[in-house]
This record gives sequence, C-alpha cells and structure tokens, in this order.
Amino acid sequence: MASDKDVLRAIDNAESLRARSTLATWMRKNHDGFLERLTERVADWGVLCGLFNDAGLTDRYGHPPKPETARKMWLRIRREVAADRARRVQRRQSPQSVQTTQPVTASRVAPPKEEPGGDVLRVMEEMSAKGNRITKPLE
Amino acid sequence: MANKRENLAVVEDDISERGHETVEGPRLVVALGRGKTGKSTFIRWAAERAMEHGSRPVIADGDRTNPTLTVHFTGVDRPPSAEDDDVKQWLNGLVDRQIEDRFSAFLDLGGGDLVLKTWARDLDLGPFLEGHGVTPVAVHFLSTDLDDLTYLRDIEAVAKFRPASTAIVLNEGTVPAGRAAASAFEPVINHEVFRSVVSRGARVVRMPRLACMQEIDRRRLSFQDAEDGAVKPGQDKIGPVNRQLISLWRREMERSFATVAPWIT
Repeated sequence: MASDKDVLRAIDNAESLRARSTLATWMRKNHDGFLERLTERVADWGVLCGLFNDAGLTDRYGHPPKPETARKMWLRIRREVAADRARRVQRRQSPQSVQTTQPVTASRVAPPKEEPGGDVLRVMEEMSAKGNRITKPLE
Repeated sequence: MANKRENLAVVEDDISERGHETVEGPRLVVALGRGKTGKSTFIRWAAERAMEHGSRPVIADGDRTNPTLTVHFTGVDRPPSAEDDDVKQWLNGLVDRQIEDRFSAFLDLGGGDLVLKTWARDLDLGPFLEGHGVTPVAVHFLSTDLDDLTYLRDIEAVAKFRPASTAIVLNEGTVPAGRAAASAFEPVINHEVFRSVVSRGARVVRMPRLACMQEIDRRRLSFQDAEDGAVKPGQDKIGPVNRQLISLWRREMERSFATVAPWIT
C-alpha cells in the first residue's frame, strides 16, 4: 500500500502553500509534482482530502474538499494546464496569432460539441475497425 | 483492485484527451428506448462505475415487466405498483426528493414505456429540472432495428424531452449474428430522425458487445465481481477467458463513453 508521507512531505515543502490558498490554486502551482506522485502511487482521495484539509486547502467556498470534488477538480486543473501549455507552444510557433484565454469554470452545460456527424464518423470507424476485413493474400 | 485502478486511469486519460467540462450538481440520467436495447445493462455499468468514483446515485427501476436493476442492486427505488397513476406519482416523488436532497439518479422505465412520454411532456421535464438545478440527461438506446427510431422521435417530438445532455447509444450487442456492425447500423445513422437529433447536438456513442454477458446476468453479479471471478456461494466459477473478455469490455466501455462521462459519473 502506498504511503502518503511523500504527499505530506510535498505539502510541507511546497513554498506556494499559504493558509488561505484554495485547493485549486495549490494543484495548479504544484501540478507537475502532484502529478508525478499520483503517477507513482494510486490516488486515495479520501486520505488526500484529509491532508488538504490539514494544510488549510479548501474548495472555492472555503469548505474542506470532498474526495469526489477534489478528484474532479484535479481532472479540470490537468486539462487547463495541458491547454495552457499547448497554447504557449502554439504562441511560440506562430507569434502573430491572437491568443485569448477563457477562464474555465465548472458548469452544468454539456461537453463541447464536435461537428455534427463527428461522433458518428468516429463511432462508425470504431465499428469498422473491429469488424472482419478481407485481407489480400501474400504475393 | 488493480482492475479498478486501471479502468479509472483509462477514463481519466480519455477525458483529458477529449477535453470536456465537468458537470457539477445532481443529474437525472434517463435510459430511453425499446425493449432489449441495452438500457438496464448500461445503468448497471454506469451506476457501478459511479459508485467506484465515490458517488452514491439513486437507482430508480420503473420497469414494470422486467425489473432487472432490482435484482442487481440493493436499495433500488421502485414504484408501489405497475398502475400508470402510481408510476407517475412515484416519478413525481423521485424528482421532488432529488430537487430537495440534491442526489443524482439513474432512471429505467422499461422498454418503450408510454408513461414516461406523457409525464415528461406534462411536466416539461427538461427545463423544469434545469430550473431547479438538476441536469437532465437523456440516453437513447438503439439497435439495428429502424423501429427503435420511433421511440426516439416520440421522446423528442411528443414528450419534448430534448436536454442538451443527450446521448444516442448504438448497441453493438444487438447486431444480428453474421453481420458487420457498421453496415448493420448504416440505415439507422442515415435516417432523418437520427440525423435531426444529432444535428441539435446529441452525442453518439458505441456500446460494445460482451459475448459472455449471460454469464454475468445469470449469476446476478456486478461487473467488477465478474471480472474478479468473485461468484456467489454455490455458483460455478467464471473462467479466465471470460474474465479477460469482461475486463476488456469494461475498458472499452470507458473509452466509448468517455465523451459523456461527466454526465453519468
């Protein structure tokens, strides 16, 4: 069973940790270190939330984070960081492109939609890929 | 336990790749479609998955002829009788409690249920739920039979249940033996009813076939237990091959439903 001492140590050593920091801020600023540790060990969000609570990390309402909230928050932060890094790469490659950043807020709206038919094409390709194919004999 | 972690890792990677928003707050996930199109199997999988993610959804089984969910889960919410009025009152109570207590729920009313159509229409269900902070999710199940599109059309046009979170599931398990899935579903995806629902933004997903589903059904096991070979006392074992098939199916389900995962977690 993985020890959580390394996570405690990471929290103790994180210079960005402040009494009023929100959990999301901490996750963003310690993204790589946190990700590395989650890659090495299974995430027990119940235990992690206990550590976050002990460290004074809260959700945006100032409440101790619940495991499911913290997990979803982490997924969102991962996507945001990945998107930010992708935009920085794109900016370096095309300096004249106009960059706009939109704050990502959790909401109840449906996932961003692909082009109408995009899902259908993908699904049909998946079905076809799994189907039997007539292969040409070796010459 | 290792299989749970692996399946969770698969869905997390898929979500990060496809980049969609988290849906917060309670949601009512309604499985819709004619009989034997995969509604109950989906709810069994989705509810079990939600529980693995730490959620505690209510499972509401209104199927009056084949209450499958009731035999697979404990504490399933059921109507007091099969009478239409009792079912409607039960549905009203479910929604009242959901709004009050803020829980998510999976609802199965059985194949082609007519009560759902009138109830959803009379309540203007979608906007009503949204107005009270509950996200309505419509999950339509289609086989290769074009007649399934009738129910889809009626839910959209008659019941007017057209939430933004709408998914259409093409169930490969319904493809007749000897036919390729892609060609079998071609008439369905080319039909105007299907196209119109997709054009308004519905997501389309593929539900893979599990050849040994009957091995799980007859033992009344959870998918995790079946994969682990954890049969109940007195039951014959599930062999390694079928356990491997179950494991692969569960991973494939995670990938297939990744685009709508936030709606059902």
